[in-house]
Amino acid sequence: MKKVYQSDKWKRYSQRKSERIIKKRQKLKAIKSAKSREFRENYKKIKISKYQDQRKKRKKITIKAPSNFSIVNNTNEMLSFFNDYYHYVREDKRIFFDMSEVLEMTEDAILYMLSRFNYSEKILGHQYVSGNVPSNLKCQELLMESGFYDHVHYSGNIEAPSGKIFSIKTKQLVYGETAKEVIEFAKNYLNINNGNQLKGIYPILIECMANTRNHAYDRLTNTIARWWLVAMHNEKDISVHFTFLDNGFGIPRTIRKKPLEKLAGFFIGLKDTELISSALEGEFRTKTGFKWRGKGLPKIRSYVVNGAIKNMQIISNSGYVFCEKDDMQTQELENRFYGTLLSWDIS
Amino acid sequence: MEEEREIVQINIAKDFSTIPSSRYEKDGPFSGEEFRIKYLEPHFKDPKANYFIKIILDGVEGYATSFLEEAFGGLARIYGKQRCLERLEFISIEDRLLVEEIRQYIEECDVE
Repeated sequence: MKKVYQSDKWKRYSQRKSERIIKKRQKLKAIKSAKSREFRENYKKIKISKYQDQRKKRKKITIKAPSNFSIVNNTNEMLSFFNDYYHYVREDKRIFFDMSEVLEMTEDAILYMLSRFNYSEKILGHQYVSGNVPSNLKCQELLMESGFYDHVHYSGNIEAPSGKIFSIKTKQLVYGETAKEVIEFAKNYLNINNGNQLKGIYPILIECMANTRNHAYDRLTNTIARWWLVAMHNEKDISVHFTFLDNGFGIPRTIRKKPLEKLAGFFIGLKDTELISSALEGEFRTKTGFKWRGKGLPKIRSYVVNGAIKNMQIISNSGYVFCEKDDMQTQELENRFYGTLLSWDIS
Repeated sequence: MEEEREIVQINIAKDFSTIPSSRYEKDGPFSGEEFRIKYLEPHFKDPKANYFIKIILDGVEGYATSFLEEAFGGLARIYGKQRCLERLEFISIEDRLLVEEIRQYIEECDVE
């Protein structure tokens, strides 16, 4: 007996059925493809217009860096410049740092620039900053030697540092190893064999790092502040200049205020210089409320008094303090400094 | 005749680190809190123990106030300043003022 699926009738039926299925599939495929082509074209149009909107919104703003690019020597102009930068960051603009006309530069300004870049990128999520290098060769050299290009995206050639500068180090924790390295650098340049002569530097650096750690925690953004350190040898007067910067809230904002000061602050405003000076002089200023805390800044001041370090400058929020052996010079700043900068010399 | 008391010696540079750092362990390595917990507190856990603990301070890069205060002031806050002052002996040839400074942190450990 012939099997059903071997009969001619079955074969014709089966062929017609397959043709119908193929036709149906082709039809569906054509519909799908038309739809996706249309979708793709529409999506492309939307994307281009969105991108154009963003480009318009992120129009490149060029900000000209002051010719004296130094926080300690040209404080108000520099802080005004960085305020402009911050303003454009908040507006999510593309920013171009025009540094071509910078003629003088100090390492404190480089640290502050890195600290501001770090803040805008890590905290505010802004990533549209570019810039050029100064035409001045000395400034170019300082940027290269300080290790600035290790902390930003740079497409040029990075030359190996000559070792004149202890290149920029940055961390969030307290690292005795880094403090030891910078002391070794200073010993080499000052030809000091007896480590006791530089005993004061290690505690100062540790106190600075610890202050960053303890007084600069941002609960809102859940981030801990960062510190930057650089040291530079000065051939003229055979000294080493240390610069330490943190991007915390600053000394005036993080120390304890007395009830009367709080009241005065509410009505007439407190002077940041007075708060920094009193913290340095050892007044009970720790926000923890424990009397055994808050000894770091007075200890740093004691090293100025006993001559272990000199020319100590502190800039924090709106206060500038220059510490000498038996005196302190202060100046209220026109613009706010974000964080705390300490610099000092040893010779 | 008075009984001779045993002496235990702790050399910070050799036993702990030449780069002591800050106050708390969360701040970074070699903190005052770490030193207190690992090297000082085991000698104070037994209330009957009365041997001397000689602490050699020399040979390190330096001491931040926060390290010293947390290690020794912190110890005094837990086990009492009198007990700490009686049992701890500090040795420093490099910086004689350091011993005075530490004693002051112990004395003022609980000043409110």
